[in-house]
Order: sequence, then structure tokens, then C-alpha cells
Amino acid sequence: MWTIFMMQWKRLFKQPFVVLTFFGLTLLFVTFLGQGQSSPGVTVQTYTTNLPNHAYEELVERLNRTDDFNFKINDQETVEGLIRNNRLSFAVQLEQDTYEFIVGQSSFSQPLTNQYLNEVYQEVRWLLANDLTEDVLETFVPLEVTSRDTSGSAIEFQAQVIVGMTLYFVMYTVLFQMMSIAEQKTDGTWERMMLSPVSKFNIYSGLFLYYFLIGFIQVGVSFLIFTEWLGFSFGEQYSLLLLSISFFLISIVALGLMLVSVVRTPQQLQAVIPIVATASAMLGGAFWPLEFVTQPWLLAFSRFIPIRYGIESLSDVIVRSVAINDLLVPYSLLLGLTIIFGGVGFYFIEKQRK
Amino acid sequence: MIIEVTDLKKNFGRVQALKGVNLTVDKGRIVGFIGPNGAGKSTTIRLLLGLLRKDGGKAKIFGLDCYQDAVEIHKRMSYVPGDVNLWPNLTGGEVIDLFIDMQGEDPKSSRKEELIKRFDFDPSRKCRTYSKGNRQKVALIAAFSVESELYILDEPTSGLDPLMEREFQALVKEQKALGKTVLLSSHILSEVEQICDDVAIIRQGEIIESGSIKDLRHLTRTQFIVEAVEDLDFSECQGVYDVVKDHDKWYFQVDHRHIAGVLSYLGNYQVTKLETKEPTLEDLFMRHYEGDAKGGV
Repeated sequence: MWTIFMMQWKRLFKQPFVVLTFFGLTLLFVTFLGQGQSSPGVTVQTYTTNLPNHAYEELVERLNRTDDFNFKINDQETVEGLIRNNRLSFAVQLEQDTYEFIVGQSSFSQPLTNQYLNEVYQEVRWLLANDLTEDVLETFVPLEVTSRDTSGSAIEFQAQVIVGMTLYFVMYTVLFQMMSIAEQKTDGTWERMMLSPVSKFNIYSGLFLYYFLIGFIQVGVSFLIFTEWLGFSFGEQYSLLLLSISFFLISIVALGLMLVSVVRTPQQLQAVIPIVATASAMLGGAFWPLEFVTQPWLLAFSRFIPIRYGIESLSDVIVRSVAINDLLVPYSLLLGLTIIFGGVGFYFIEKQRK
Repeated sequence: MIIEVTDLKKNFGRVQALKGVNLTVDKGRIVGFIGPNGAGKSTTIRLLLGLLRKDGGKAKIFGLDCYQDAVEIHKRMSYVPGDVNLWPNLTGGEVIDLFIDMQGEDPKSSRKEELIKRFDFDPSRKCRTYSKGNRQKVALIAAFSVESELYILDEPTSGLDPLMEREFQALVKEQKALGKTVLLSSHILSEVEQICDDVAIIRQGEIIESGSIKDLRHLTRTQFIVEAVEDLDFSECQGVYDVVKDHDKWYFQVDHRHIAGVLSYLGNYQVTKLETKEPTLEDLFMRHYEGDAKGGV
């Protein structure tokens, strides 16, 4: 096993271009997303038609008590002009006990803004209905809890996208590295390995360990840069973080084996990898939260996509600091997918020896 | 017995590649495995190596099943293919080390360096820059660097220059002296003739001839070249074939069992020169080819 494992590293050191490119791309995207994360939240343009100036200012001040959003005072004409010229995705009309969105184009921030405004206006309406002032809220513990949940969802969204993009790029790295199996199958060196006294189990173990480690190093370096340079917190449950990454990577290596087993040439694999990786990322919630996907069949399909459970488990660890018991479902599903993909891959590769 | 193949069958779809091959290789023997292209040589070897599943019969090496116990068998044998595939971005030396390592031996303590010198090989270059002959050397050096009981060599000298071919033959003879067993598939019949003790000829998926080269020679004809003052007439002489006259010389072939009769018959003529030539393996091989062309021997 170690002979095969070391040989892969030797080959990598002689031709590190592909891996370094994907490392670089990951870091670039991670940095880009990280800078987005460190900005002072989502900027939302507002206007009012009925509220007096001081009430409008008070309401906006109240809405800006969170770090996740930055509500700006504006007027209807300016806002509509900006939306008409596609310089703004959406804006909000704020009134005393209600609000209304004016939307030019769909945006990821809009549902989050809506969620936040809904929470705040529930409080406002409750206070108005009971003829109470805002000071009384401090005595109501449940409302504080609700407020914490709201900010949590914004962090969750950021974490989901950051984690999703990292996992998306690591999928690329691992799958492109696994192209070497397809190349070896074509040039005959795969058969040469099979002719050695090294058992198939040891050959596959050596290869799997190598692909797994390549992915692990990439995710590790990305997360480290995120933490050290960009100040993003991945929580303190490092063991669960590593466990989640491991389960995800094992399933990706198994997926790679399945892809390698069904293609005939490295060129075919080269065409298949971007389709599989990008489709997985889109359907698995790497580019946007799965809540945005409304098609039932797409959601059903996403259940067979490892990146979905990778993002789910990592987000749970980072945002909600869950215990290992809460992660048993995504871990089991990732393990199940590993067995299915690995089984199919192994079966077809061995079938070719018939 | 090191290799034992009994009634081995293999089909590829509707094509019956092996129709029931029987082959035995005893310990310490060098066996030549010859046959025309498409006869089933490579299929037999791939079955012996455990790369293919058989459809019938038995294929055993060291008494172990070639497919089920492939890993155990590979631990005790070395294989040199006719077309060596190497990892293009590794150097020849790295690949040799890798092969030795996979064989479970320490590359540093093996006889690798000695063989590198004998084959005049530069191990520092990347495999993608090697010619066919050099790729072949990588496989030969790796195979003979480790202690194996059996060597399966499939066209091992293709691409080697005559000097290296001679080195290879010397190496095989050294292995024989050490009591090792060799199965050599080759198109170079002179090579087989020089180094092999036994020969097995395969045609259309069946072994049509096997035994020691010495025994097989008796199955074929001796070439006669005769110069005589008068014209020879073989019409009443038994066992004479392919009579050709070229000026004063007569060329013909004689069955072994009729040699005495032919010599006695030639006593009736004024023979000025008589030359005989032992049948070569090529003659034997061609005789089976001719038989094939005429619809069987």
C-alpha cells in the first residue's frame, strides 16, 4: 500500500501543476468570499411614503442594530431610478407596522432581509397592539432568543457558501487527480500494477489514501487561511470539523472511482468531471442555500449528492456547534453514498478484466 | 511441476481464443512458447498471469489457481511483457525501484546495479524519453533483479539490439543454472532454439506440438545438398521431398527414418559433394504453418 501511496506523491511532485492550480483557485475564491464576509453586512436601500421623518429615522436606526444589515435612508424616486437602471436588486418601503419589497431582480440577500424584517416587524406590531414601548422588550427573554436566531441564519448562509465553494473546488482537485487512474488504464501501467504481488486491496487503499490526503490538505489550508487571515470562525469543534471533511472526502474518492470505471478514456473523464462537480455544487447547495430550490425532483436528486451532506454537516458544526449525535444522519448518508459509488466503481473496473 | 495447464479454454464473445490448451513446464526447464500471431500465446499468458478469467479447464502455477491466487503467484514470479508500459514522468531508475519494491524486495540490496551495467542502461532519464529497447531494459532489469522461481517472458527482446539480446540469453542461462524456470514466448526462433530446453507450439488456440527441441527435430526433415556428375532420379526413393535442382546442385529434404535408404541410394551415383543440415526450429515451425495452409497437419 505504501509503495503505491508514495509513488503517487512522487508523480505529483514531478507534475504538480493541476493540483497547484486548484489550490490557487480555491484560495482565490476563499479570499474573495472571505472579504465579502468581513464587509459590514448587506446594504438595503429604504424609503417611506407615510412615516414622518423622525419615526422613519428611528425605525432605520432600530433595523441597523444588527451587524448583518445596513439599512439606508433614501427616497422613493431615487430608489426606483436605481432599480430601473439595474443598479440595485431590491429596496424596501418601510411603514409603521408593515413593509413592502420593490424588486428589480432576484438576489440571495432578499430572503434573508425579508426574514430579518419579519422578525423586527413582529416585535413592532406586538408592541403597537399592546401599547407598549420598546424598553419593555429587555424584560422578555423569549424575544432575545428569537433575535439571536435571526443573526444565526445570516452567518449560516455565509458559512454555507464558503464551505460550499471550498468543497466544490476540492471535488475538482480530487477528481482531476483521479484522472491518473484513467490514464494508467489507457497506457497499460494500471495492468502493470495489477501484475505485481501487491493485493488489489492494498493498491486501492494506497490510491484512496493519496486522493483523500490531497483533498484533506486543500480543505485544511483553505480553512486555515480563512481563520488566520480573514478572521472567519469555524467554531471550536475541530474534531467534528475534521470528521465531517473526512466523510465528505471519502465519498468523493468513491464517486471518482465510479466515474473512472464508466469512462473509456481520460478525455471522457475530463469532460465528465466539470459536469458532475458543477451540477453537484448547484444541486447540493454550494452556490446557494438549498431552500432556494423549489423543484421537488431537484430536491429529491440532491439527496444523492455528497456535497449536500458535506455542507450540511460542516455548517451544523460551524454555526450551531452541534454534537456528534446530531451529525449521525449526514455521516450515515455520506457513508451510504461511499458504499454505493465505491461498489459500482469497483464492480465495473473489475468487470473490465473479464 | 511449475506450470500446469489442462484443457484451458477462453472465449471472447463468439470467438474461441483457446480451444483446450495443454501445457506443462517442469522445474528448472526453459520452455519456448511459439506460434503465429493470433494463435493464442498472449491469451494463454494473460490467463496464467491472472489478468483474465478462464472459461474452462485448469491453469495452475506452483499448484495454485492462476486467477484466485494471483497475488500469491506473483510474489514468486517475474514477468516481462513484450510492450512495456511505464509511468512517463518517472525516471527509469525510479520505475525499476518501484517494481522491485512492489515485489517485496529492497531496491538497494538487489542486484539492480549489476544488471544496469550489463544492459548498458541509463536510469536517470524520464521514461517518456526512452526508446522501445530501453523500456524493455527497464522491465528486464526489474524482473531479474528480484529472486523469482519462475520467469514469464513475453517477447522480451523486442526492440533490443543484438548485443543486448546476447546479454539477455546469457542471463536466462544463468537463471537456468540456478534452477529457475522460464516460460519464453518469442517470435525469434533462433533465440528459442539457443536457450530453450523444450518447445510448445500453439496454433488456433491449441498446442499442436510440444517436447524437447531434440525430440522435435526428429519429427521433421533433414536438408540435403548434393552435387553429382549425372542427374539424380528420386522417383523410386522413399522419404524425399521438395527436390530442387540448381545447376549442378540438388536440394531436397529427407524424413529422418529414410536417411539410411537415401544415402544407400545416392551410392549408385557419382556424388562429388554431400552436405546435410539439421532442421531448424524455423523449419519445424514452417512445417506446421504449411500444414495449416493445407488445412491441418
